[in-house]
Amino acid sequence: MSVSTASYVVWGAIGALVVLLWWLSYVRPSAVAHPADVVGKVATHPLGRVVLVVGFMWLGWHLFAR
Amino acid sequence: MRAGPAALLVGGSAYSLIAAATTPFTLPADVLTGVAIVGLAVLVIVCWPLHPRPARPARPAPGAHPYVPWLVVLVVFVAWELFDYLVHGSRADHPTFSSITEANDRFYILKALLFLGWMAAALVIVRQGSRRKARRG
Repeated sequence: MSVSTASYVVWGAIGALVVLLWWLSYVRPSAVAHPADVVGKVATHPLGRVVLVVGFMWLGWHLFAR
Repeated sequence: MRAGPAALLVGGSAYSLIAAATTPFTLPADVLTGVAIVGLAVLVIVCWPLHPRPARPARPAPGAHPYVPWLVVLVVFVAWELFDYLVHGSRADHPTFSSITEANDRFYILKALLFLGWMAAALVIVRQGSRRKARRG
């Protein structure tokens, strides 16, 4: 397996893990929080909500403008 | 589908299709992305309480830590991103999240979907931090 393929496999595994947690948040909500609840938790934290919004603004600028 | 969400979807899709047609590092890309960012800032200022009450999970179980799995994924994501960014070698061998999305941008419809997803996620952030949600906590 090439280095490039291995890198993409890890990215794919991370993506699959996100999908798995998303699914678990529906079938076992007491064990895994729903993504919206995670966002709500951060968005209602005094410092977390600032980091969340500024980080999200930066992400958009980085992905689409620069 | 109700009129409000339908209008948001149609308007957001149209805006994303226009934004996806721009090229990074140009004025149109700056303006269209900037308008969306300013829109997010305005919504946050208007909708979010100055002093929020912390949110709690809908169905907390004794001893449960439902946020920990997501924290683990975030740590793994950041660690792998930093590794790919800092390790010696070509970007092709060690793709970062940014380089993967740049490859995605070569396909117009995928870039439009990514832009739409980014704006939809921004709305989720605004909604989850809004006064109505904050009071529920």
